[in-house]
Amino acid sequence: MIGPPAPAAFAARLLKVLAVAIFVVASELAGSRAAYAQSATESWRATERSARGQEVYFNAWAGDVAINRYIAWAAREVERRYGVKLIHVKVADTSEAVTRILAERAAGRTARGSIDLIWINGENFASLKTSHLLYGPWAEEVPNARLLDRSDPTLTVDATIATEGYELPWGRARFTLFYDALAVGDEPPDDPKALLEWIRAHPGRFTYPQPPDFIGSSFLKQLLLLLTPSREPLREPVADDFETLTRPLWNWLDDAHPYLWRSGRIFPRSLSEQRRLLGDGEVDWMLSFNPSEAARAIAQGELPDSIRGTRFRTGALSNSHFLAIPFNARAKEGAAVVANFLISPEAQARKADVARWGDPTVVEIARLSDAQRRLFPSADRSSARLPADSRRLQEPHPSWTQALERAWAQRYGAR
Amino acid sequence: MKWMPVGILLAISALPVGAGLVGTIAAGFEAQAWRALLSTPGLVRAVSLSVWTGVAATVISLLLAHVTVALAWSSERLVRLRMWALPVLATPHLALAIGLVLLLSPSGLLLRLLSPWATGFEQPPDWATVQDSLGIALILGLVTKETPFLILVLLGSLAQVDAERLMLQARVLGYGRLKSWLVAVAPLLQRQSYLATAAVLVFGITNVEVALPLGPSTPPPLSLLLLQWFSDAEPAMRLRAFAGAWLLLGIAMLTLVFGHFASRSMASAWRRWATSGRRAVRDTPGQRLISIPIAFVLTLGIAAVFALLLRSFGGAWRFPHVLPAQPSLHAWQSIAAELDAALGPTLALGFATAVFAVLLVVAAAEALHDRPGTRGGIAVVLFIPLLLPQMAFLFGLQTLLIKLSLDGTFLAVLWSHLIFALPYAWAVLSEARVQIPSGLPLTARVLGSGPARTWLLVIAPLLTKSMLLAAALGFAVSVALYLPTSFAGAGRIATATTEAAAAMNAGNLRTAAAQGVVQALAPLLVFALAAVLGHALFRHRRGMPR
Amino acid sequence: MGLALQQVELAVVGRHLLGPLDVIIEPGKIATITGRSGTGKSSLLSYICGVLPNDFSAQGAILLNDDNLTQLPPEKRRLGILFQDDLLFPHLSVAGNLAFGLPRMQRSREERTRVITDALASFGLTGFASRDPATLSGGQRARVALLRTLLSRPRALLLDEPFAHLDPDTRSTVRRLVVAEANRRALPTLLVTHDEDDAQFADGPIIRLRTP
Repeated sequence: MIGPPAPAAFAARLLKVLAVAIFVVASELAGSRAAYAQSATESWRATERSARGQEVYFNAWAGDVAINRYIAWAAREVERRYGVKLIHVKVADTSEAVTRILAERAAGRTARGSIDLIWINGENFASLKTSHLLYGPWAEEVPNARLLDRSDPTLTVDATIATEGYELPWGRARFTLFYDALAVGDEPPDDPKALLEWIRAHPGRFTYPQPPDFIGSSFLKQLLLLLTPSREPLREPVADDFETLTRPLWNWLDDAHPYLWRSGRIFPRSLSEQRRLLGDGEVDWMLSFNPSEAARAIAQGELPDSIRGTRFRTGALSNSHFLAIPFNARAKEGAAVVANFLISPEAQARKADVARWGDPTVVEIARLSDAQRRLFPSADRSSARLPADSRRLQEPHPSWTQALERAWAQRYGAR
Repeated sequence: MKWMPVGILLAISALPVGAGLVGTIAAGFEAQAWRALLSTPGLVRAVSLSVWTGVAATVISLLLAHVTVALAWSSERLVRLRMWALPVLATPHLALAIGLVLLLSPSGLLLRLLSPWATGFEQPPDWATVQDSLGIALILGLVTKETPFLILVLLGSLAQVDAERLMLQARVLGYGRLKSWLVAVAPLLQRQSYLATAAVLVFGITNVEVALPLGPSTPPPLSLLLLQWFSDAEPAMRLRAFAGAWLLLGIAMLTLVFGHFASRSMASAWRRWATSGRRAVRDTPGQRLISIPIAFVLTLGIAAVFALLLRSFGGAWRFPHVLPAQPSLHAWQSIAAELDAALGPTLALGFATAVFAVLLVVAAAEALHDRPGTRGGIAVVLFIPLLLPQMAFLFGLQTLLIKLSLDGTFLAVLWSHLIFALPYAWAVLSEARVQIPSGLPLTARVLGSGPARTWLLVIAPLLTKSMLLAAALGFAVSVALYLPTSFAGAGRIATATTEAAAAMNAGNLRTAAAQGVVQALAPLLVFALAAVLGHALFRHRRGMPR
Repeated sequence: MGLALQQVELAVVGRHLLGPLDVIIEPGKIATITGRSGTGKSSLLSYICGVLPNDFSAQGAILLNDDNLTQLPPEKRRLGILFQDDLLFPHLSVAGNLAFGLPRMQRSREERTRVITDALASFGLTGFASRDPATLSGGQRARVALLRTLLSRPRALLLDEPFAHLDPDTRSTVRRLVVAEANRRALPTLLVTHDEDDAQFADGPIIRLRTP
């Protein structure tokens, strides 16, 4: 045929070409998706291979024997399965590890750092992330990340700072108040006003750890979230209205302090110390983020079985804790492999077991296979008896934590 | 060649301290840091607390130590005194302080023993018996540990003066034991006890180990504030900490200077008292009265260790039960595994510190046995780390170690332990070497024995007891060190003490108690070993130095 | 009257050392105890003073002018002792050392100072009051030590080889002084020495201890 092709024929040809093109591109895409998936798996396998034989220095808070034992178990598993040697570096406070990373950067050590994996959240995370001291993003690349509970915003936003893959969620927490039912009865106060009344009626029987202890500061945040006239500003950095927004909190504390244990002149140093006070009968209350705190202690004979738990009815402070890898870690692959294991169903199930640690899992049970689901303990109906599901209140911006701690020190830190 | 040990000794001590101080001083120059520091609420209270508790504890300990040695004056009782003092000395400060909390707090052993039959309490009373705002509990904790230490220092320096005959002379002239001691012997021991007392004073002002469990918290002493700030993630807080370290250093030095002049100004008053002719012979009831506080302090230490032991087994321990309701081995089981990991480094570090400290000091003492001036200079250099707040130079040291890529190594931690063990080894061995009459090695040399042989066969045996004591001290010091191990070791070297501190910081008293018992056992066993060995070797020779 | 030892027996670690000893020393008289090293001379003096070490055991009574000293603590026995080292307190001046020896009886400082000045003069040591003991010669120190002891008004004197460290000339001077003072104040004196001249000079009973 001579001359331009007929429009129909041209259109048909065009369509054919397009179809072929689309087909080719689609199959390319599909292929590369598969290839991508395959290469992801392969790159993960490569990671696992590089990890074999590495020593991973895991800096994790060691103030609880149960947690230490869990980590020891994880170390044995990780050695057995992946040939990675996990070493638990016991820190008394996470900021110790943060300080070390900062010191290393200041001394110019950009590789072969002394910390490979760090248990972290909140202001510590914010501090490292904004100073570009974390390796990443890596958290989305680990295989088990697909099992995470995406409905929970606290898993991807750590105290208003987006994690952006720089830390991997490990466990969840909700602010819980534990009390001795023999002293407090079966209807414990579950809002700040009622709590204040109880405190005034029972002088010397309530206290909280001294800020800047983690639990103590969290107690301040929890009260603030419930007492403040407006919660929106708390998601932003601290501004000029700090005084107005926190006034109700200071009023509450001013009213409560004279009736606290030791008249508010001495505070327990931490949760562990307050747990001892509760067990010894010096106080009737204990505050914690771990809903299984009491159950475990009762099982181990540290607390009497009259201890129950409750939450603030109108909302409980909720957050998550994470695993992160410093920028100069020596064993990055090993750290990733360990992290991946720690959020595996087996590891998460064992962690959630009240007899061991009792820390709530970050995994979405619905995504698990039946066999995996069975690993998990049934919902905790033990003597702790927590209210079904009070509202989750998210952590304020990290600057609020510091501001609250400073203001508390100003008002109550020196008498 | 002969000067090498001296050089090494100085390098070990002076280098890190110098580097550390430079680091701290450089960081402390920021005006911003000072502004932040001075705006701390309760700063004045914190500083006065530090000074008050440090000075009070030192004065009381010194007095008690002198009175104890004076009143116990007879060789057998002094030996028994040493035996009482050593277990308390071997127990690390932290462990002892924890034990005191377990003893004295309203839910502690003491009140449990008395309730409810004597006190009528069904619940622990809301009293501030520990962490009281005046720091009395803190002072008590310091006194409990430092009095035995000063007693041992006094006993150790007795060999230098003809104490027995001086005491006898004074007593025959009609004076009671206390005044005889204070006039005839104590002033001659000033030189030796001076450095030790200074170290006690500085420790009292700057310590963290005793203040943490026993000291007040609103506000705490300055050293605890520093600890908080140094481990804060926020850089501004850490800057404040460097300025604070300067402040702490300054306060400690000022107090030392003031103490020096105060003791000088008391000299004329003392002289008047010494020559007044008053015999101060106390009748037995009066003497018994004085020995009450002494006995109290010495038994308090032992009781604290006992309370530790009791608590480490405890399950739920509701007031007012004296014994835990369900004694469980839980804490012990849990630390058994961790003990495995921590025991190795603890023992390795302890022994290495002991051996190196003794070797270095013995060699240096040999080189300097006839040069008192240089000896004094070395002593001062070696004692400086004890006279400075640890935090003042540990941060700078950490930076140095990171730059040299030495942090986290066994060597670095060993080095940091040596820094603190050397002064004790020096105090014991340098004096012991000087005590050896020069005629002895001279005779050996004249008889044809070479220097090495002379040292080995003549001098070394005479130093045996002192070497054993110095080694035991070095071991004990190494086991007890927390901050240096944590800083130099970059957290990679875990010892029983770092474990105990982590547990204590978390308020986990039961684990801390169990670790504390372990912490105390190791040096105790070593001391016992040293004592047995010292007694067994040469026991058939009466003329050996004590 | 005087210093009496009755049936005094010493043993060390179960092994018999010396005794039983019976001695009576009259006021003003000097008894000498001699013997080789290890015969227990110094231990005997320790026992008389009341500071016998624990690994020794002893029996027997010590009587002074009919007072039984055996159960009294050292500071109550009203004895005086001199050693071969003068044991002057180096941190006190000569006057300070002497004042230490003086009993409380003198009330005012001026009176005490007067007593000390007179005492120094009587021993030929005028002007030595403010001197540092370390600047004195051996003989001067021995005299100050003797003076210190005598100022405390002892009822008996015990001398543990007090002249051993002195050169021969000083030795005889000091020895003469000691004996003269003992005579003058009628003090029963017990001298422990291994020097035969001392024993002869003392001119009193001599007890020779044998090696056990």
